[in-house]
Amino acid sequence: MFIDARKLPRDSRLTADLAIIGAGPAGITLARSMIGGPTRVCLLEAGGTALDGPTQALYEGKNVGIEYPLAGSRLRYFGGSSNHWGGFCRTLHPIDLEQRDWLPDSGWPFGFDELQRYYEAASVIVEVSPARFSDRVYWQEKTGEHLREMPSGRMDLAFIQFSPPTRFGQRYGDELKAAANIDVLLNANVTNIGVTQDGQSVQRLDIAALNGLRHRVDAKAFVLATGGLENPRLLLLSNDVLPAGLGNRHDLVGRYFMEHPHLSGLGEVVVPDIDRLPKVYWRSLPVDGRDAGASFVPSDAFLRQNRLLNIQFTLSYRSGYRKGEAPGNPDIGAKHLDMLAASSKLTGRGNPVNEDWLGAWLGLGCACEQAPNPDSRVMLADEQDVLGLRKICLDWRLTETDRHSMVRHLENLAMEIGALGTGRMRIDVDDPEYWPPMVPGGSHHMGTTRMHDDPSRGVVDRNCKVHGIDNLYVTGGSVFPTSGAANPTLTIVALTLRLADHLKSRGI
Amino acid sequence: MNNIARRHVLVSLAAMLAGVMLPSLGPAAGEVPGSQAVGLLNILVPDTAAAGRLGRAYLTAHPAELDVQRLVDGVLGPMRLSGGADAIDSTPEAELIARIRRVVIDDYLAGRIVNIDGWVLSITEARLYALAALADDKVR
Repeated sequence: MFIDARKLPRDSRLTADLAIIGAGPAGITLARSMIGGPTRVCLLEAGGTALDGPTQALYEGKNVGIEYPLAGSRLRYFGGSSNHWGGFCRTLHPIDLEQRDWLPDSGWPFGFDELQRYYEAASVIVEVSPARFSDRVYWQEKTGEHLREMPSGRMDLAFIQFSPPTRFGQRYGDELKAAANIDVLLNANVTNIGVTQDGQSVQRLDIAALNGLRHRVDAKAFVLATGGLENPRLLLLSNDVLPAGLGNRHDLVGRYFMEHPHLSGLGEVVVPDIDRLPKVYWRSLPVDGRDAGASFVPSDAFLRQNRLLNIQFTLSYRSGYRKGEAPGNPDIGAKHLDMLAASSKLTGRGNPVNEDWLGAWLGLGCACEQAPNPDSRVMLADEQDVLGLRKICLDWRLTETDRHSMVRHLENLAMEIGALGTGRMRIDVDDPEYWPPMVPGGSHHMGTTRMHDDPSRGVVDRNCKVHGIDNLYVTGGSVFPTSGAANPTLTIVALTLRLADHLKSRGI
Repeated sequence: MNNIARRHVLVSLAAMLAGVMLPSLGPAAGEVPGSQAVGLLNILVPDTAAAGRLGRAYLTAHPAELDVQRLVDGVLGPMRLSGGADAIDSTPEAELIARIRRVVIDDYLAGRIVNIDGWVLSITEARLYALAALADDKVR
């Protein structure tokens, strides 16, 4: 059943066994996992079923670090940020979950095998099944192309599988509406997570609608699933009993904010004969009902030997060059044409099929893992929103470690491109030492309620339960101790499925 | 290009570019026209003007490489053609190209690279383009 909090009688009090705050991919996945079971679920969504300006404005805040689109990078209505999701799906790599001695604060409380158990089911939910993210042989068979192992051993192929993309609200809304044990409470902004006087147990959620009505939800267990920016904000705002906020005894809530710097224009690749490159290297191909494309990732051995963060590169076709045609961009075109002409005997086919074709230019994209940094953080601003709540304040920071890693990986990719024998890569990094004042991210919000079994090092434990509070859990990217370089939605869904199993094992 | 002409191109290239008189190997070294020198490069580098622009950038950034013999040795040495100039003369063009391709790939695999105007290139390839730059300047 869908309920509109704006239309309930004043000071309504709803009850449930499990209250889920946030109806994005994580919240909806958790609610769906309970359909048909004995647990009565109340799934709370701050927005309605469509984008609404005043509700969306509640995401606005202040930046004191790298400029970041706080309201533009997420959506506050049913389905959450899946409503503008690009659909990129890839798993983390095993090394992403390991404690890496060159990376302080790395390491998840469990290994990749634990997460792997849930990736196939997660792949079904985001409509990219079967999960074949690292299976080169599978993609070779399905695409009909020769996908050789990368020649140097320093890089590997990983495959991005593209969700349609799944708009969770549209895709699963009817199912939730029809479920007898699920109530979806729309236009319900949580203003406070109310705990007992000893701070060890959550009793209620205080709710406010934008038309001024106030309500509350009582439940036995609570899951916070509002995303990596809002999760810490709500914990910090809920400070009527614990002044520092919930789960914040060790001043960790909000810290370790991580994004995936999505950088383009760092370089380009020219190939005299694009037919010598597998198509899946530079475009997505339809396979078994979903599109997929290759990405280039460093091998574990290379990461360990060079003590680097992880990264993901993609290539995309930008333009071709023909005899007699002026390049679209004269400056860069002249450079490309010189390299194509000079290197054609070294990289091209001996007898080109088309003499008029000089070669192609492929653009380079990359998503970088960010090192966990406690000083990169979500805080509360002094300014309040229309509900009287302090707005978010983000201090996103990137470091020399992040930059050095990216530059080193660019060089490695360039060497791999050369070793493939089919093209040449140009690196175009303005300043290898510093990050620019504005860095595009992937709308990936991670790390701000990180997992660690030690309460002095994490906000939640390995089961995503908030330390010190027996019935409050958090799910989503905010629990990631490290970010890896893979797009996080698939892992968020997998982690949530894991949480669902845990809650069921506890009789919730 | 016949075997004798190739051998003299190789020797004459070095001589011509370095301005050094070498013992005659038959036809006088200095009598080999510039176009024959370019012809050798054309086996491996079809567009010497384009390659020359890259080569000039390389030599500007690495002035210690402005040594014709060093450049020649740097290209031919890794190709492992036993017998020096005679081996070049007797090796089919397709084989020369295959060898230089292998050398360049090995450079990338081993990390023997240089950066020329952002391009990440094999050191052997860069030296080849440097030779093209010198030949291009000389021919003009």
